[in-house]
Amino acid sequence: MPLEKGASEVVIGKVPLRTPLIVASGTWPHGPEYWRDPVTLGVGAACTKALTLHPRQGNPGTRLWETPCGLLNSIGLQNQGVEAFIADDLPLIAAGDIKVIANVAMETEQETAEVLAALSKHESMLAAVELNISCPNVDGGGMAWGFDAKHASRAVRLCREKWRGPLWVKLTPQCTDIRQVAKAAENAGADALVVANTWLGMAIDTKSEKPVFARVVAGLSGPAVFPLSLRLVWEAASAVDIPVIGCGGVSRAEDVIAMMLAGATAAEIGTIHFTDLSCFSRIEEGFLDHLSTKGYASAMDLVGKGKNER
Amino acid sequence: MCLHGISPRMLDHEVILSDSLKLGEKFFVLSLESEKPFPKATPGQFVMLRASQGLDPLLGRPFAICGQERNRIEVVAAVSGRGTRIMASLPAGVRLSLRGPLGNGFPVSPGLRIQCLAGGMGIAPFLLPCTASKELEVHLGVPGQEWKPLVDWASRKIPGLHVYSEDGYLGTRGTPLLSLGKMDPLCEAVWACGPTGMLKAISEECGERNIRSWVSLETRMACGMGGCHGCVIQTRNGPRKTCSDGPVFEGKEVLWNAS
Repeated sequence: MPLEKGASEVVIGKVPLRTPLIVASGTWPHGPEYWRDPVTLGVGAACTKALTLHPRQGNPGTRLWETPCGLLNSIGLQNQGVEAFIADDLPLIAAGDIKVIANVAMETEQETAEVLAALSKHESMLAAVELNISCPNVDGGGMAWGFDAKHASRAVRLCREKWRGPLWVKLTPQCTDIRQVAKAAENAGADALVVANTWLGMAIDTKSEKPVFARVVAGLSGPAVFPLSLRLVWEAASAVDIPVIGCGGVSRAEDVIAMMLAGATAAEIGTIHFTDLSCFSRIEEGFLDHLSTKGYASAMDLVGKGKNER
Repeated sequence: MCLHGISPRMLDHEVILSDSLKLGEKFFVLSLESEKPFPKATPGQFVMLRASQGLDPLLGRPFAICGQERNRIEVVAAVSGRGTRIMASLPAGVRLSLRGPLGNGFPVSPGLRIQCLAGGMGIAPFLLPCTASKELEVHLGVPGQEWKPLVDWASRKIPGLHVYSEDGYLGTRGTPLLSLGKMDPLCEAVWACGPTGMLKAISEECGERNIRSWVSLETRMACGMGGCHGCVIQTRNGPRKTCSDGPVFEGKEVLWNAS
C-alpha cells in the first residue's frame, strides 16, 4: 500500500516527531552543522549530551573498549555545564531542523533543580527534558537514583516541580524491577519513559592483567545488548500507560519495528551512529517499507501491536 | 571543529580496496578508492576505516593518511589487534567504509623549515607531505630488525630519511631524539608522531631548547568526529578531543602526566 506523507510521524505524549528515530544522548556532536538536514534526514529528534550544573571533566584513563558487537564506555558525563550549553550551543542547535531534547543528569536535588531552572528560561527551544536517573544519588548512599521505585519516584517528583515542559525519564537497566520503577516514574509525573540506558559491564586487559577502566565498571551499548533492552521495553510498556521510548542496541529497521511491537512509541539510536552517518535515513527507509508491506497507514499503528495479538 | 567547511554527510564514503601491499608479515599498505574525490588532507589528518559490513568488529579504526590522490587514499598500518589483522588479510576488490579526512593536521605553512620525528608507525603522516616538500627533514626510529620491511618502504618514499633503531641493526643506534642535538639552526619547528612516551620526551626536550613542537596523538576512538568524547586527553586548555580538536596538538599544551 502506498504510504502518505508523514507516515513515519509519531507522537510522544504531546511531542510530535517526524520519525520515531531519536539520536541517543552522548553520541552526537553539539556543532550546529550536525543538527541540520540533510545530515539529520530520518532523525525525529536528538538528545544533547548529559548536562550537569557545573562543567565536568569526565573520567580519567581509557574511556572506550570494543566488545563483540558492542562497546563499553566510561565517559563520566563530561560536559561544559548547563550555563555554557545555554550560552554557546542551545541557540545554534535549536535553529536546526530537528527537535532538541535536553538530557539532564540527575545529581543532588539542589543541583538538578538549578539545572532545570536554567533550562526553564529557554523552554521554547526544547521539545523535552530527558532525565537520566542512572547517576548515583550522592546524598542517598551512592546508589543510582533509578535503582528502585522509591528513589526514582523522589527524583521524578522533584523534577516535575521544576520543569513544566514534557519530562522524559531515562531508566537504568541496573534496577530492582523495571516494572515497579517505570510505574513509580509514571506516578511521579513523567510524561514518557526511555527504556533504558547502558548495561554495566567491565573489561580486563589481559596484557596488563588489570581492569581496563579506571572506575572498573563501564556501560555496555551496541547491537549486543538489543535483546536485553527489548525485554525491558516489553516489561515497562506493560506496566505503564505513558509512552515508552526504546533504547539499547538498535541498529536496524527490524530493531525499531521490534521495539514498537513491544510497546515503544519511538526508539533511540546511539552506538551504530558512530559507524554510519546515514543509518537514520537507512532505518527510516526500512521502517517505511515494513509499514507499507504490512498495510499500516501510520507508524503509530505499530505501537504495542506485538502484545495485542498474543 | 574538524570539518573545515565540509558537510558531515560528506564524511562517509564507501571505498574499494584497490590494492593491498604486504610489507613482510607485520605491515601492510591499503589503497582505497572512492567514486567521488576526497577533500584534500593535510599531514596528520586521519580516516576511520571499517572493514566489516556486519556488526563485528563494530567500530572503525583510525589511521593516519599517508597518501592521497583525488579519489584515492592510502594508509599504512601494523597488525596490532583483531581489527588490523582482518584488514591486513582483505583481498583487493572488497568494499570498506571510510570516514574522513578527519581532524586537524600539522600546521602547514609554506617555507617553514620543519624537522619531523617519527616513532614506528608514526611515520605515516610524514609520508603525505614529504613527496611534495623539500622543507621537511624526517627522522624515523624503530625498535629493531623486524621493522626492516617498513623502513625499506618508507626510505623509498622519503629520500634522505634518517633511520634509528634501538638495536643498531637499522640506521643509527638510538632514537630520533638524537637528531634534536644536531638540529639545523634554520629549523623552526618539530613535528612528531609515535608512541606517547616518545612524544612526551620530544615535547619536553623541545621546550628546553625553545623550539616549538607539534605532536600527533593516538587514542581509542568510536566516532572520530567529536560525538562520543571517548578520545579525550587532558591539556592546559582543559579536556580536548583527540579526534576533532586534534589529533595534532602543540606539545606544550598537552598535560603528559594526566591520564
